[in-house]
Amino acid sequence: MSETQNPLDRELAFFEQHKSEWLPQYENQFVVVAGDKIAGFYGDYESAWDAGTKKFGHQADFLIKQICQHEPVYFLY
Amino acid sequence: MPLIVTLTAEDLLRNGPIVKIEIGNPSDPSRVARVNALVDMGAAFTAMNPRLAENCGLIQRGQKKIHVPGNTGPDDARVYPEFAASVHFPDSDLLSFRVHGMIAYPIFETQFSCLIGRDILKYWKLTYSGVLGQFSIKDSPNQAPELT
Repeated sequence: MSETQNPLDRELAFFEQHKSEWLPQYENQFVVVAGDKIAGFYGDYESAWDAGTKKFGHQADFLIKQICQHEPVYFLY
Repeated sequence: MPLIVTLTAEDLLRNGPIVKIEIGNPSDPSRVARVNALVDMGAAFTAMNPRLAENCGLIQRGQKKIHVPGNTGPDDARVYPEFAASVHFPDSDLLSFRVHGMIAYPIFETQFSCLIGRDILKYWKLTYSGVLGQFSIKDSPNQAPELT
């Protein structure tokens, strides 16, 4: 899947727009975003997914993203 | 009870520690795929072939920036989609994950189509004996609350 086909482009843009204001209070927590709506901040991925499906529905596009000061780069070797 | 897999030393050397895994759709328990997975300490995150995400009807919930084999420099990391999936280990007592983020990344292997990364390994105690051709996995005593 290329970045241009990403179904979460809008949510990712919203995340980048608001990340700096969320960081002081919610660093390392998972935020749930659909469009420009937020379903809250959660301590783990599973709770974030539960909140997203409850608020937006199972089939809706929503983003689950951990709030980090610097975007981590991981290795898969 | 730990999951104990006994092979020959030669098979373990050639193929690595491979286990059965069930990847499922957390919104639709009927959509499940049972495949082989390599336990991969070099992988920060658990990854699957993109066709598994498609077959199970998984929905993308994020993305991660990742260096994969073949990337040569610090700026070569690429973005891969992350899907919400359920993870189960059949034929074992290992605890399941009701919802877990998994990266979709093309795995060009015939022996396995999933990599079990350190995001799952952090809940396990893994013992590997190359001499005996045997490895075992058991859940760590400090399990996370999301494990079921």
